Amino acid sequence: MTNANQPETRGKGGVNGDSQGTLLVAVDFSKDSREAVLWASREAEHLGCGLMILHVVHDPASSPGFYRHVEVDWLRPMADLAREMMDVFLRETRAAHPSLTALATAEAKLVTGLPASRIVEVAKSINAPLIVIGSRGRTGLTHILLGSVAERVVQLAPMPVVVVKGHEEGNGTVH
Amino acid sequence: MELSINHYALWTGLFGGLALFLFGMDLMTGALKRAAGDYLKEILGRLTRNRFMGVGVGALITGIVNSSSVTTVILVGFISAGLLSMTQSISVIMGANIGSTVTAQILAFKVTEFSLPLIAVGVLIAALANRNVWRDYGHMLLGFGLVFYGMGLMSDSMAPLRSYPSFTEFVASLLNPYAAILVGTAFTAVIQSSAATTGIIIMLAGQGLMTLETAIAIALGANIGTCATAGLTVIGKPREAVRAAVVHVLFNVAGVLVWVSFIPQLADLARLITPTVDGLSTATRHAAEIPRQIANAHTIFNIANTLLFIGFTTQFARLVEWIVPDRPLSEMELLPPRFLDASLLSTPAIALGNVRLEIGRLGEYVHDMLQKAMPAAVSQSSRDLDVLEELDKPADDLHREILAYLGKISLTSLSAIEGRTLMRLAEVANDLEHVADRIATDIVTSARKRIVARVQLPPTALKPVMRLHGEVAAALRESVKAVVNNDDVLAAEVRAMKREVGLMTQQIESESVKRLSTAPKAGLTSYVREVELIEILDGIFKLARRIARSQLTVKISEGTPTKE
Repeated sequence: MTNANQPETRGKGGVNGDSQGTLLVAVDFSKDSREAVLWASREAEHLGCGLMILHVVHDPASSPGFYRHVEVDWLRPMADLAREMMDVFLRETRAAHPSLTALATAEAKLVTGLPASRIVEVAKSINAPLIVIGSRGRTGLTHILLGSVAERVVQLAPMPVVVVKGHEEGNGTVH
Repeated sequence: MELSINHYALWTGLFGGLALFLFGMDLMTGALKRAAGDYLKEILGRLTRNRFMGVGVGALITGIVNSSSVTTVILVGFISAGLLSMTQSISVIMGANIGSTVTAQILAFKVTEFSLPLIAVGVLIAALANRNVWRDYGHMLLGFGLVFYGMGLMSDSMAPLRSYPSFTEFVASLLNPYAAILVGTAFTAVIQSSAATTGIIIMLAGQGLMTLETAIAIALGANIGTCATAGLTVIGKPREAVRAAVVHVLFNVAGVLVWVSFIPQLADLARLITPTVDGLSTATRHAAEIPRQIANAHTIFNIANTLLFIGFTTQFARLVEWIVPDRPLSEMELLPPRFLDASLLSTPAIALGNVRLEIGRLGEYVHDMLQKAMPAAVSQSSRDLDVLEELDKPADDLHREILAYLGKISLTSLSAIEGRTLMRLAEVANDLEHVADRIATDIVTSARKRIVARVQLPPTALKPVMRLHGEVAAALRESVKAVVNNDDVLAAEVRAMKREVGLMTQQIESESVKRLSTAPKAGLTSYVREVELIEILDGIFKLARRIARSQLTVKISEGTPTKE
């Protein structure tokens, strides 16, 4: 594990550090995701590149009804609810960190599909030098059976992937 | 053995009875869907947050409408609309199997005795009803009655088969459970009703023509065959809906695999828990008891399968996502902004120049959509229209991004002319989005109506309409080019196309009227759709001219846009 606050640490492929491409951070609106966004914003500013915040609309198999956790009009499509969650997530994160310019100007994107493969697909399409993703730590049997989206992304992505853990603020793992 | 079988009575009784059974099911299910459909859908939407509730909802809806296919078809509709996820649907699908056991239990009563009273009362209520809901209730009873009556007809006509060697040999061959499962699967898939299959085996067994073990194996097969309906429904639907149909197949096949080696034990269990009928001879008692034993075995294996697999919904979801991967996100589906660079906000003139470039990308995309629209509209292919409809979303997304960026620019200090430019560029982006909407909704809707009415554009009309389409597409392309290059001369040329396109439109319309007067009956629907298409194209042309006018309204000095 490497301290991800040191941007010179590189995984396979390396990060160019120029303004080519857009850094991609994938979120599921969790605490870990918030940390991932903050880390990615600082990194984007450091690299001088843009930032895309991506959410893949997908109801997780382990907790169906992810988008309907609050009382809402059940006739609203999940993608609409996801967009609303993204808006709230961005508004709150930006309000808490007004100094992060990359965060203020980041593009928010929603696509539907299976999270891991979609994240990698989007990253490739925007020439992302790096994918940043929050890790929801699963342990024990659940971990063995299911793994995590972050792990799948690490397996699939041709570019470096940074996995950020929420409870160890500022720390991430470069794969 | 002397064969004196009346083939005519046998086949007419069998197929006539089956037809009445299926028609009755259809009538009953349709009436139930109309009477209770909205409530059922609301229940489905609200109560599928945890898997146990999902099972309950699936069982309830299926139990009420007497058809697991109806439940899965509703599910597919919900998933396609994004109201429900595939993972939420798994437990509902499991519940639907339990719900389907209600039908078998009802059919195991000596229902044929009630068939004529039900038909009479149903027809009476439907005839006297002055409210739709009562008419639906009448149809439900009538449907039930027809189902029972159909079963009675089949049962009576097949009774002589007992002494028909070919038939008894065929049934004997079904002692092999795999053969019986296959027969159950194929028969159910063809008639698209597992209830009918169960009804027939209950009736055959009641006539002493089939053992309990064979009946159970066929009922297991029916569970697989019933997946065919959902399988047909998901053709052309989003991946999530396809996955739900595959879950249905996986769950039902897995359930059968679990039981296939334990059919004798399941039969013993069913005999054990089914009350015996006393005071009858062995054969008569057997005939009286076996229908309930079949229904009970059907209930046992469906409930047991759900209990067995309810803990594995997550694994089912993972497996099915692996079997049915996503369609690739094409460049078209993902149209991220390329020029809306936040670091340029401090120099609004350059930022506005880049908005022009981004509008150029949106314009190119919408122009592409328009080019694809006409072949899709005349192809008479629903699939092509689905694809065309989906193309609207990326345009919407990019339009939203452009407006958001313009919003950010408006917060900076702008000169009066920059302010005006900003307003005009927002109008252009809106107009382009309207063009995409007209393609994805108006053209698609009109083409779908043509498919339903089975009318094609006559070849004589196709050519001039294609020419008009070509002119409109050219106007759109040129107007966007005028905005991107800030080119007033080009914008003026687009404005000047009005006369030419107007004449062309008039000419096509008068030709259509002529065709209508020569073949007024056959040509009316075709004429209406043709005029509709011309009006849509004319509407798009007007939007292209508005884009050109927006360009002409601004006299700008924004600086040179930065290239990528």
